Order: sequence, then structure tokens, then C-alpha cells
Amino acid sequence: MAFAGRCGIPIPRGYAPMNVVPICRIITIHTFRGDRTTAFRQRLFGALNDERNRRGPGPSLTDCRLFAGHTGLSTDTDRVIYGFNPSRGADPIWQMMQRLRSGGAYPGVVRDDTAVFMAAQQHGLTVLRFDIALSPSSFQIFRRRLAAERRHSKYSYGFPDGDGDCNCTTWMERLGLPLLTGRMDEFIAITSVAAQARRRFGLCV
Amino acid sequence: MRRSRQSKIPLETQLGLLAMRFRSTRDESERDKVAVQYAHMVDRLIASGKWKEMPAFEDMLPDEWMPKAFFKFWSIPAPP
Repeated sequence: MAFAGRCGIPIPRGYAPMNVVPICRIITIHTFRGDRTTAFRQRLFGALNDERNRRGPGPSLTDCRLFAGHTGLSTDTDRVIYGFNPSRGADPIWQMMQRLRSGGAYPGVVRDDTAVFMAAQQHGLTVLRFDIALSPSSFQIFRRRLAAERRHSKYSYGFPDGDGDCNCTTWMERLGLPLLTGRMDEFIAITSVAAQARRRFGLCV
Repeated sequence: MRRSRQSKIPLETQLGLLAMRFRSTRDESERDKVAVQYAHMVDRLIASGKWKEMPAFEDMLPDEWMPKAFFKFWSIPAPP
């Protein structure tokens, strides 16, 4: 090994790069699994039921995310964690959940969800993080896409195989972020990766 | 072939796959069929004694299509 190659990956002797080694830019993915404990789910579903029956204000969106789990991303330019969410308009949360579970979709909106991830940590949930290294040119393309999404997302939010284009996780794929390493064992280990023989994203039916 | 592949998939995962199938159609008769399979899967999970984690929102059907046993098992309010 003689040279540091693209993004610092070693290049064997005899394969010297022609160009200056680029400095990679980092995008960090943040994700946590939801809290499904008895006490939390009873509180959440009790609040959803109260909202549905006009007995209470309903749960907070943060509580819904703490139950469901959430994924967001930040870049090395700031500490904000952006997440993709449904823009539910005037719909109460219980109705939004019903619509999403029924296959419906909402316009997507990108929000500063830093507080959600902080709440998850304070709640005792483990927030997993991993970095994606991009070349400076790829990073600029990504940054432009993210800026455009923050202004006005072109994607609709929906649950898998519903009418929406993506959810908080698959939105990252829409932005062109590679989430898999490429190791075959990792890909095959994804439970039931081939059990759902076809995937649908958006209104293509 | 398909059946043997399905049987290797954990029951919890199969619930999520059924929820996806439900969302992928607006055909009420197809949705009825999926809901029946979903209820059967819920019964199997309850009978297994190994159902430890409540499914995520996206792995559930809309309330009116969910089996009553689900709400009872997880001790959450059933819809009216």
C-alpha cells in the first residue's frame, strides 16, 4: 500500500492515483427502534382512542415516533437531524394512522427532528448511528437535493406498499444515499428480503 | 415451494407482509381474504406464547380490520 485513495481507501502499489486525494464529506444516519413496552403502548393507544372519541387531545407526534421508531440524517455542515414526515393537515393523529394503515398517503415534509432523537435517548432508547462517506462532488449533489427537499418535498409519505412514495427510511434512498454496504451476507440476512416479491412505491397502480 | 419459503419467515414478519398486501389493493374481497389470514396469524402468534413485541403501526391493518384478539392480547383499547 502506497497511497490513500478516494475517501482514504488504501490503493495497492502499482495503482497510483492520477489526481489529488479528495477529502470525503460525511452524512450520518440516525435511527432508533420504537418503545413497545406495556406501559408506553397503553398510554399511546389510550391517547389515540381518547382523541378518536373526542375525550382528549391525543398523543404527541413525538410519542408516536417513540413507539414507531424513526430515521433521520445529518451532515457534517451542521448538527441538525432532518427527518421525513407526513404532512397531515387538519387530520387528527388517529385518523392519519388509519389512513396510512389503509394504504393512503400524505404529502411529505422534511423537518428538523433533532428533538425527536434527543427524546428517544432521554427515553432510554438506543439511537444507532452510521456514517456514509461521499466524495465532495457527490456531497454537493446530495446537499442540493436535501435543500430542495427541505423547501418542498417532491415525495409523498406512506407505509410500505401503500400509495406513498416512501417513509422516513426509504426517503433516504430517494435522495440517492446508499444504505447497504454491498456485502452479500448483509443483504441476504435482511429478514424476508425476497418474501415480498414486489415492492410498490407511489401511485403506479 | 412458495409455502416452504413462507414457513421459514417468522410469524411476526408475516404479519407485516400481510399488512403490505392489504395496502397494495383496494379490492374489498381481496382485503377480506388478507384480513382473515391476518387474524389467523394473530391467533397463531398468541397460541405460540412467544409473541413478545407489539407490531409497528405499518405492520397493522386499519382498526376496523384488526381482529379483536389483537387488542385484548396487547391490552389496548379496541375501536368502537
